[in-house]
Amino acid sequence: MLSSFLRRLATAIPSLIGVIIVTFLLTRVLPGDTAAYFAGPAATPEAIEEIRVKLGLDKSIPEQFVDYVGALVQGDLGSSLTTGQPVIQDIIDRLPASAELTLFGLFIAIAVAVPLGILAAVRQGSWIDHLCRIVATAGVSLPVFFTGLLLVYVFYYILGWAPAPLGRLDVFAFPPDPITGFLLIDCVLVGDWETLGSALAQLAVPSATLAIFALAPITRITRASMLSVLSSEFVRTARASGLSPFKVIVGYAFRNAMLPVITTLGMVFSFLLGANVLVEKVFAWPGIGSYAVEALIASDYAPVQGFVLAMAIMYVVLNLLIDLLYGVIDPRVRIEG
Amino acid sequence: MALLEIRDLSVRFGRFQAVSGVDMTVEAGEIVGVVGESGSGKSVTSLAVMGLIDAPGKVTAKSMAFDGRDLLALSAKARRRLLGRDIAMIFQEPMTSLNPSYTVGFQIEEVLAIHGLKDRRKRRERAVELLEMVGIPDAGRRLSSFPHQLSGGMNQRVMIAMSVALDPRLLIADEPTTALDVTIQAQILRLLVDLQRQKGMGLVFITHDLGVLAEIADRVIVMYAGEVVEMATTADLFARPAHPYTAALLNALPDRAVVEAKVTGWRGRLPAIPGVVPGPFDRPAGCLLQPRCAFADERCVAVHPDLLPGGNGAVRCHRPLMPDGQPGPDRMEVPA
Repeated sequence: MLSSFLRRLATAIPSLIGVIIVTFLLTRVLPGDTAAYFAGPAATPEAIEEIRVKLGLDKSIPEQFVDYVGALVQGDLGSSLTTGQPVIQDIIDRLPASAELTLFGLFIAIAVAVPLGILAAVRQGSWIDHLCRIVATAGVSLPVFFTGLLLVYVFYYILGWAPAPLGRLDVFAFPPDPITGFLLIDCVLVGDWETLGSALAQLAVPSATLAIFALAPITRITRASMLSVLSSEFVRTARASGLSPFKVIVGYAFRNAMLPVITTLGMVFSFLLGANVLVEKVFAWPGIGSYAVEALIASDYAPVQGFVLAMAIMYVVLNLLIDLLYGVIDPRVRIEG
Repeated sequence: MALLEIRDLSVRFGRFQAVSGVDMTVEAGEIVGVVGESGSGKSVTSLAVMGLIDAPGKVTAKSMAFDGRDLLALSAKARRRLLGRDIAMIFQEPMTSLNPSYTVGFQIEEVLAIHGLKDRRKRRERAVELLEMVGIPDAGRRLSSFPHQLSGGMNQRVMIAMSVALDPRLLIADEPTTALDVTIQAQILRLLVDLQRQKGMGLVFITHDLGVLAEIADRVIVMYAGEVVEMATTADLFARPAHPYTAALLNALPDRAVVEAKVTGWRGRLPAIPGVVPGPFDRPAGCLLQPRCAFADERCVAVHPDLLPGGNGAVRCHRPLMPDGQPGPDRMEVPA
């Protein structure tokens, strides 16, 4: 088991090397002169040149790459020109905010989509099936920034139920000292229930935005997968043995319908990482998505590279987890050895 | 009192009449063979007995009684309690009829558990005992195998073990040997018949292979396009088929054709029944077999025959075949 796990882990290394090369090249071909931007509009050509040398941008591309990889191996992702901080520190500061938002959104989406998909499959053609279809169609048709703005308009501006979309916490609330960086978890650990409520209120609308986006594919796949499993012969056997409908659906059918759902979850999670960038902008969320966008606009290479690398690592880890989950769910996938 | 007594069972899916007016009785300790082509309503009939026809399928019957209890009057829960315990079923595809995500032991024990065997150790012991009974070597270890790790024949043995786990009084076997290769078929057949004798179960054996029924069945019911066309004891049916369809099925048996060819020196194609079973949209008027029947006349085209006593049991034909294999006189004067 351990050796197959390690072997699976090793296959991730080429992907990571590829990601490092591509992000490096991509940031180099982007338009915009970092040195000129950094020096400011009033800088003389000599000053710009001086900065260029200081940043190592006067060297050839291969040399720059060697420098970059050398630093990377030591855990140095470079420094952001705009925040002046090491990129690794920025990412560590901001990643929990993004992760909290994404995971919470995904959690809501699963909690709604999976039961909805199951019910739609069990009661095929009923109102719940039609509801499922509407949700799926709406979810894929509405862009995230639009649902985000719409929800802000309705729940903050018109109804006044949601707080102002200005980040993770109300301006008057005091965040607890960071322990994990995840605000919700930190509040629970410290026992600060007031701040927890405030954080949840701030989190509700942006995570709902992400959830609506993620609902559609999960519902659709759950429904389709359940339908095919429900018509399978082993479900008929289970029913012929006198099992109750609930047990047949949840214990026998859903377990076998889970593989495609898990696969989709992995894909949805990666879509969410992308959608995050927009949602963080709309809700002024201090996550790594908005950080990367700001860096990109400023031609600030290091944070962009760091961001893409962080995303790639998350993605690889996620796929690894999904592969392992497959084996837990379906014995036919389990690697023998 | 018969173990299973069905009167006038009909199943329809929307506008398609899958089964119409089927009568069937099964006595305890008896093997009843049900034979017919694909689409003749054999499986649908058995699923209706099990209560496994889902909407939009609709089941109606004058009565459908198991051991004197009307199945159609029972609540869903009460009916479920019978399934697996008093009435059990074996299906055609052993490889897909077991849940791929659970071990075979788990699946056998599950049946025991839902019908009230709460003690884990006893369940385990009973599962081992069952696997040994169906001839699976090294039963204790096999319990932790997954279905994909076993062969088709082994899986069918597991299915049989599962179905007889609670000593049911009626076992419905829907083409249990069709998906297996010939040597395994014979083993599984022997196993089923042995178990049936030992336990005195009523066994409904559904197949499209008349040869199998000749070996095991006490009585045979021949179905065509959702109707019973002939019922008789096995010996009578094979010796003197009264319905042209039964006769044609018997002629289509390769064994018989080969024997005949040896006698007559005839060489050529094996006899087959031309055409296919009518589907939802091409049901003929009159007798349903009429377009495929060699002896059909005007009355067969116009009037749908009833299932009436005749031949050696009951037969649905205007002019049942005589012992010489030719149609007899029209039964028009027989009161309906």
